[in-house]
Amino acid sequence: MSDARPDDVLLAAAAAGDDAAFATLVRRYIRQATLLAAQLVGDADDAEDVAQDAFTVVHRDAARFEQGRPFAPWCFAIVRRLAANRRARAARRARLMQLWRPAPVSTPSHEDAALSRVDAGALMRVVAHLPPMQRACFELVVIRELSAEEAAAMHGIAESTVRQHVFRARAALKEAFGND
Amino acid sequence: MTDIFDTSDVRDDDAHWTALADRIAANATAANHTRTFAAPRALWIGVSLAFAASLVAMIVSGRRWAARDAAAINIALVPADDVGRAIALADSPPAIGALLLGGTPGETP
Repeated sequence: MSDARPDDVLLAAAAAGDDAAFATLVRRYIRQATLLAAQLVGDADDAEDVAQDAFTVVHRDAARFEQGRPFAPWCFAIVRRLAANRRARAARRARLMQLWRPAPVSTPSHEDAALSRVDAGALMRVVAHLPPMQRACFELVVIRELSAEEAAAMHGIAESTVRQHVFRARAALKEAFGND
Repeated sequence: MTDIFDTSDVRDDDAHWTALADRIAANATAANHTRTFAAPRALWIGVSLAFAASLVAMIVSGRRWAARDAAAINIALVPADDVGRAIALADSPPAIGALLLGGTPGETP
């Protein structure tokens, strides 16, 4: 049975030691948090690690969360911060590795690497070449069927900006595939 | 602007999300409960160190008092005669001449 209590009430209960309330909150946001992390770190396993760390921080700081404030933006801001930290660490590691390794003839970009992993459909190829935020918003709203409001909270941008990105992405796709 | 990666390798079905959520929630609560118990552990370490320090201080001051008490007892038990006093109180053994002539220690015969 699902728990219909608002996020801040669940978080307050979690802070008071109610682990079931916390689990409900995690179930409510796990999909968005993981998808956001995946968009930012580029790997499904790393994304799950980021989500794990983010919810650990959420649980740790639950008592300090001001009741009545929206939970989602706070939670997604933690995800974004942790994802950025992870990327910075990965970049540092990569730079360090390059000092020891001979320079490769050609290094595939993140996008190429990501594309090689996916079903290289024509649609995804075009989507992959959209500007980053257009791609992020299109993927979340059109492919993952999240609301513009949810996508906005995930990336910490205005809902109108998300709609604009999706609109432009659709326009770019229409142009690529004709008028369909 | 940071790169945005595609998420097509992320599994997207309810069973997966539920299992992942339960695992993450359990790990997060366990990690934080461990941290909650870790804080008093730090406190316990501090208390133990303070106790050990006070114990050392007590032992050291106890020894000092014991030495002082021993000196007081020695003085109280000094014999009343000159020879006994010379043996008990002098830092170094008294001269035999002084003992024979019955002078007090330090006195020139």
